[in-house]
Amino acid sequence: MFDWLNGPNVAVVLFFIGLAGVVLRKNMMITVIAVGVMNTAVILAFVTMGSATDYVAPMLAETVTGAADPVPQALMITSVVIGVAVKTVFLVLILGHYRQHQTLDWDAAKSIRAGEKPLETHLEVI
Amino acid sequence: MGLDQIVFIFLIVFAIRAVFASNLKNAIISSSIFGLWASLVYLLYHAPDVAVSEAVVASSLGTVLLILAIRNYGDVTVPGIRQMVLRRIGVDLLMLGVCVLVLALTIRLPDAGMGALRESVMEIYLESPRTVNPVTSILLHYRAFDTVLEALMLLIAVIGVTHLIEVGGVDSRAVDGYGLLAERHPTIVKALQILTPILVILGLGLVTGDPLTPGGGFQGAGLLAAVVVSRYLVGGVRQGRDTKALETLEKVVFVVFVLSVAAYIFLGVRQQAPEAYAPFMLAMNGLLGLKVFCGLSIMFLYFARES
Repeated sequence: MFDWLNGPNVAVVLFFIGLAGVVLRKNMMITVIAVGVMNTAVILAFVTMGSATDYVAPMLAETVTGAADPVPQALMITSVVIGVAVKTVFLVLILGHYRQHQTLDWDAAKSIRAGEKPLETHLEVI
Repeated sequence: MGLDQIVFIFLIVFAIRAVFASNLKNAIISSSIFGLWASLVYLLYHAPDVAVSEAVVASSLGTVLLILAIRNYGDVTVPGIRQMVLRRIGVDLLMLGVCVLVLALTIRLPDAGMGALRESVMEIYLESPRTVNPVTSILLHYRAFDTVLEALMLLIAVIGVTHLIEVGGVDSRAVDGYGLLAERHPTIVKALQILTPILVILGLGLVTGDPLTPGGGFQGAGLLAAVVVSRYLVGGVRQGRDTKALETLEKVVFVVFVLSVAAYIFLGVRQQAPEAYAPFMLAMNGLLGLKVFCGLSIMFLYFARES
């Protein structure tokens, strides 16, 4: 019954939850968190595809067949670290934007960029 | 229902809680717990190295960064899931449909099975004296270039953060802020100065190297463009630097690139002269490298001039 609940499928669901956060939500900080969720989904897909719960870790393996795949694991360690680096730069850019314009809202930022005054409704929902 | 499936359900629940929270504090704490569950999944799937880096770097350090960031914001409430879903039903349904489609495709995906690379890596490891973790040995041996570039990426992120914090906001220093880097961070500037010739050699080597080795036009040119960025940060502002020559070069290279690829394919050179393949790849790598280098440099110089 729960067979479909495996790593790659959950990774797809998580990726789309993150994408929904990026598309539907209007707050810059939520966008950062949602991109983090998408990053984790990609890592989850790579880690679970070459492995299963009854395998053994690559460093403990005695035979080739029962061992988890070490190649995607090595790739994903890089991805974790780079994800945090990207997140940090993202946060600093948002902080600079907030200090200048006092808003975390994408719509308000867009209207500021277009040279309009931020709408009252946007200020309410920050 | 195994332990991993229970953890998967928690993962989905906390992802939804994090993304659709009505308060930034809740969102950050939920995303932190989400990271810890993810780390547990990696452990259950026998990836302890990834689990450790996720728990230490992404889940804890990332959360601390987010918390430090929201300290600066006055109002941390955001419109919750109710306003959001009711406001844009069309987009909701589109996302749901695409998710179901991709999920259906994923379920029909055949099992990954045993790849040749995985088999050979594990065989080499099992025959070796087994003193080094295979994941670490892939990182530092098979993917050594990548790992070096990862370290470089981190350095660039650090420079970017220090730089942006100094010039960010309504600060009047934003006008001539680029020159301050050398005064404030002499270590970073010195490191960049030492690294520059090494990066130039490495980048040119990646572009012109043997097509069989890792790397190529894209990677090498990215590295060379990083050299331009670092020279810019070290050297301060050069106002009004003209990018016209670079732009012309980029367009010419692009036309030559497209024409030569089209000629190679449509004239059937590959069938008529198989021995021309390796020099062709080398030339294309060089052209692609030149194109990517020009493009990245123009973009960066343009942004630097505008800001």
